[in-house]
Amino acid sequence: MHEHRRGSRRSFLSWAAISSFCAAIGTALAGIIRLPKPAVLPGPQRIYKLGDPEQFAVGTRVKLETEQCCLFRDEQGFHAISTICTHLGCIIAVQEQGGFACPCHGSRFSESGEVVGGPAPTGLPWLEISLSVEGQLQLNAEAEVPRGTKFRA
Amino acid sequence: MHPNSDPARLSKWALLVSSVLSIVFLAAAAIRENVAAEWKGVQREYKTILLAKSADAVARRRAEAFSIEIRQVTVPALKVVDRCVSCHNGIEDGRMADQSQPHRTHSQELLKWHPVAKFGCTTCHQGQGLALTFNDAKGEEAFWDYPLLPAALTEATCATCHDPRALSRGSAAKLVRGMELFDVKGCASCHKIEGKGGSLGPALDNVGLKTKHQFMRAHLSGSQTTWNWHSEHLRDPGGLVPGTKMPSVGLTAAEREALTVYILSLRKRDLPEAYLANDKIEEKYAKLHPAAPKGEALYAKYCSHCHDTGLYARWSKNFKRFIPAIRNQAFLRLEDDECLAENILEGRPGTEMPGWGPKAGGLREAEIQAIVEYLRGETKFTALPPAPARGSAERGHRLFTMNCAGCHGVGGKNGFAPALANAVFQKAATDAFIAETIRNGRGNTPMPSFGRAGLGQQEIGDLLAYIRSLAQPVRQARSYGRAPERDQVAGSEER
Repeated sequence: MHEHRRGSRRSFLSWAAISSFCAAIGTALAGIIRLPKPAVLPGPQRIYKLGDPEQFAVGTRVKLETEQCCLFRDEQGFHAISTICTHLGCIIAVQEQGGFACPCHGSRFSESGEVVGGPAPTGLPWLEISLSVEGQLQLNAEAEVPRGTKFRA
Repeated sequence: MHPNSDPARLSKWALLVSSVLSIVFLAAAAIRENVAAEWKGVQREYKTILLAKSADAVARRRAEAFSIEIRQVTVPALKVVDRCVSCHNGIEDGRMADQSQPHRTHSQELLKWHPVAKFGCTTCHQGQGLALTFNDAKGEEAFWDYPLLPAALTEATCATCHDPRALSRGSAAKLVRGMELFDVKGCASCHKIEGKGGSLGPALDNVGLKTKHQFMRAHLSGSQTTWNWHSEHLRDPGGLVPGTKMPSVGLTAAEREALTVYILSLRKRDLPEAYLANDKIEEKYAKLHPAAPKGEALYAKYCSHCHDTGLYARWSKNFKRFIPAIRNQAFLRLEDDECLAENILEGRPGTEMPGWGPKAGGLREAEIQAIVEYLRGETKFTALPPAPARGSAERGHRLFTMNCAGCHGVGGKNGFAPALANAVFQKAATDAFIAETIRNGRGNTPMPSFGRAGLGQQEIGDLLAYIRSLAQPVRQARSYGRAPERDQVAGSEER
């Protein structure tokens, strides 16, 4: 009896020492694995505040130069289409008669951004629009939304 | 052998204790970084305020969508990455005007003209933009070159893109006051800005971008920031920099602060053109096309700090000598305009009076002419009685030692009265001028009349000969100055 208890105490100490050692290594590894993925990168983020949504009347179709997109507002709400060509990244012209045209290699896009002609491999992406906390229209040029998604303020 | 003994017992305990300690340490670090971070607490608090302020369901939905994450403003054109908005979440939200910092709304009027996305935060406020705690962001203790400017001094950065005098409604009133003080107190007498000013003190063109390590802080107590240094240095220059020639200017605390703001605003930043305000461009243009110079203003800016009103000779504690009375009628009656201009242009080498010509003090010829006109005022130059013929320099030497050397110094230099062994003096002063000054003295200065004290024509002639032997006059080609025939007269006098 006495012999057995001493043995179990001894094995418990071994078990506790080894398992705490493993736990320590595990915790440290978990911390190390997180390192390559920073919470935030110091590069520019293409999230723009466009101001009060009411300044864009229904029927607005405006090219935004710094944001590199074309902003629309119709009865269903807001949407924004990127004006960076999916072919080689030229800045696309917004045509007055509707649709988009790339000046570099002649790609043509419809009013909703689908490829109509030229070498462009895919249509122009629709960009995410939301309202910021303080109620400004916010454009996230880094996030894409499915074609046809419109934002209602 | 003891029945309880286990040969590995000690190692097992050591492993257990060290592992548990490691886990505790790692867990504490993880909590500190992920849960207890200062900015996370601030954002949670902000979210509660947002929810409390949400008037309708839409606002409430937006408030609930507020995510706890590091936020930052990146402006590559200004090399700015500012995470200040991770804690100052409400700066663009008008509803936060009643909150305390860090949630409070920024002045909306200023943000309207300076969107955060275009300017960032540190462009105006300085500080360490990448920091995520307030202490690090202030950057005062750390080795950060440009710590957060106190609110009272933030106007200093306005001048980077603006002409502060053109800003409406006195939004940079303190900075403008500092600029005025710089002129009124005659700082330009010793300090150059953009090539214009005296040479006794350092040029101040980029002093606002100097870091604290570039100042002598051995005697600076309290805050070790550059602005505290400037403020203390204006109060008591000798207390910070022993042996400095900088005088104590005598400013009130408010004036010191205004001048500190102006000193901090002196910074040459190479900014993209899009950031220069129209008024700044107009200011630059105006500098290239200056208006007609005003003698009185120029005198106040460049001369008055040493010469004061110029009506009386002044004893300077710092220079340990008399500063000549240059608007004194007795002096102006003896000296013609060309001679005055010559002295301003060349200065007096070997004394504290610097040259003010285009290549030295940076004044244009028209400006020097304007100063001469101001000095001249109403006093006319009167034709001097002819000088006695030069006599014996040897006798002159004895007379000089007895009568003149006490003030003008042995050999006409290192005295506390104007140096006579001086090339510019020798060139500018005619024999008639020197003779007349010896004979009648100079009113309102310590120079007495030696004629009345008994010096006759012949002795004055002897003194003239000696004084002329003290130094060679400067000889250099110049477009500005005296007429050629006068040069010939001066030359013939010397022979």
